[in-house]
Amino acid sequence: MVGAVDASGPMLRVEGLVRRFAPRVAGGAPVRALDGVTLELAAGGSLLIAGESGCGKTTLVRTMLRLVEPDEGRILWRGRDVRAMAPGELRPWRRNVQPVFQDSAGALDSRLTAGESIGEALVVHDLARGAARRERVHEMLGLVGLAADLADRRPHELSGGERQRVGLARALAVGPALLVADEPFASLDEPTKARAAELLADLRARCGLSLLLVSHDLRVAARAAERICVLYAGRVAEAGPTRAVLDAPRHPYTLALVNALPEPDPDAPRPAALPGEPPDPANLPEGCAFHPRCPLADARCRSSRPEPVAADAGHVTACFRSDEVPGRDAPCETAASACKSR
Amino acid sequence: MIPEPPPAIRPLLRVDGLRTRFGGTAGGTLAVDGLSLELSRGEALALVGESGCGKSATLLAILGLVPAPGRVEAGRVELDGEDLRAAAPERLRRLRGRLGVVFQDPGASLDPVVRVGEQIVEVLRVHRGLDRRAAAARSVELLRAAGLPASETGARAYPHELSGGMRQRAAMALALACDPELLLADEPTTALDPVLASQLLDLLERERRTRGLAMLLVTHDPGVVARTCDRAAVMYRGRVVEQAPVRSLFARPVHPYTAVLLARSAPQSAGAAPGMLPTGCRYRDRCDRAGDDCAEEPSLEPLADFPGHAVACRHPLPAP
Repeated sequence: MVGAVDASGPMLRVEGLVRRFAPRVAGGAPVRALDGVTLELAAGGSLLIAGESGCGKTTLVRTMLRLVEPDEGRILWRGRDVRAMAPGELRPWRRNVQPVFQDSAGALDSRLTAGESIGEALVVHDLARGAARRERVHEMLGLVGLAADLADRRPHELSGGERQRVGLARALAVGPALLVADEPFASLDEPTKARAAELLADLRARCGLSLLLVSHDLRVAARAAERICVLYAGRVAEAGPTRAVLDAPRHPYTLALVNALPEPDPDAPRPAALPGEPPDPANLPEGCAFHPRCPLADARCRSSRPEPVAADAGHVTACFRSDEVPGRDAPCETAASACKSR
Repeated sequence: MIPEPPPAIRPLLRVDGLRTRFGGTAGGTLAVDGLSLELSRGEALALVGESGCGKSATLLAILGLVPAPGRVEAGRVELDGEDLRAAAPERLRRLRGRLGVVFQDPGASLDPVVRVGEQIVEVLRVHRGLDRRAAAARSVELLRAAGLPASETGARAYPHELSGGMRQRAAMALALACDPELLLADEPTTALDPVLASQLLDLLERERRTRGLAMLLVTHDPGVVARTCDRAAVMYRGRVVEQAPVRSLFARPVHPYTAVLLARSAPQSAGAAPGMLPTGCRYRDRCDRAGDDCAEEPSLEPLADFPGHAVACRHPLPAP
């Protein structure tokens, strides 16, 4: 029953993941949070999962971390079905897949110092004690760019950016192969976000770490992830190399997402906001989930569900009319030196 | 016919020398240290800066919501000429009725055990004296304008049954329910994805235009500032370091920190921990332009050639 470790394929692969939740109202339809998601992450690779709130990205990550069990589908870690793992194999697997949470203040125990938080995981996984543990904690602090004396501070004595780094150091302390970060930039300001994204990219290069990132801050996250997967209504809309997908989207939803990013330029044209709401996951439309909001929708889109197909090398899109997706709105050129006083 | 003299142009909101401390006196942090600003009717001012700069603390001080044992230590906060800090409780309640608030987390303004439509009805009955029918009709109207249907998935929903974006829209409808003259918004779109954020900003703009609403918007996102505000005040460690009309700020940021914030130059090091600020200019320890004279704190001075643009810096960036 024990499958051979497949070192040649992707490090992590999910196939046809479906996760439903109980209906909100008694007798109603179940909520389809994940409705058939397939994607993969190569060893040492980095993947950004993007999409609107409610699109299923957090459920996807929780399912991949086995905090939530899928109703259908497989999760393959180095070729092995994670759901078939014996209980004794779970703990070592969890060491390999470490989460970093969005709310850095909530994720850290307010009674523990930073050093104690980082060291806790080492004790739990029985990796180092005493002096060896202290040394490892200092090493981790250095790795995330924090001064050694921060080890004695408690969370409320640290800035948001510093807390985020402590959370990261804690995840790294056990030497994981994969870091899973759910909205790690959410509580940070611009300069700190940029530094955090660079840190993640740097850690990947130095430690051979793989990264699975969930974020709706596309600009910053794009710096940390080589590949992107855009989810819509629990389904994959588009996936591929980050630059290719963001510069030339092949799905109307990705285009809308990219166009909605605010330009830090007062003279830039206002983006036309995508109207409407994402569909109710308890009541998904027939056909393509995006068709009610899509300017390109036709009869086929309204009746058949598009599956992801290759648009380019390593680039898939679930859209029947992907060839007709227009280019991104170009920011208008303005003479930067012209200043109209108010 | 003798023409009437023009009305005095008094700012709607005026903050003068605000000092706000968080935590107890021993070891508390001075979150806001000598902040002054003015906001005219119908104007939108952004308070922009990194986390910990005191922008949210400023908003809380204006609202009188600084959590104990923190407190406002000094300064005046005037709404239409009246000092909010000196007002008697009943007067304060009425003054506060002219303000609307939206927080980053809609949970902060929405009651979790009351349906959202009902929360607006309540507020209209209490603060506007409407009877139940009129309040219910107005509530439906306000929520519809904010994009929420009058059904189980909108007005009749409890906050936790709505998605993050819908909750924030409901919170906005609630904030606008009593026709405030000034909207105070603390990072209203930060927790939302770009599409929702864009929709919410559209809604905000529409409401502002139709109501002539003034707005004080706290944000760390330069894109939001560029899109929604007329003027911006850049805060750093409890003080305003630069202030200008938005176009002027983006066209020529003058304070070295502003350039970093607008991503025009690379971020420097993280800087000293709270409580370990350098003496003199607080940006000194991160600034590559700092000189010896920066040991003396610079004050906010207007720029000669650019109206409305002021900066607190002894070594400002040269004009492009």
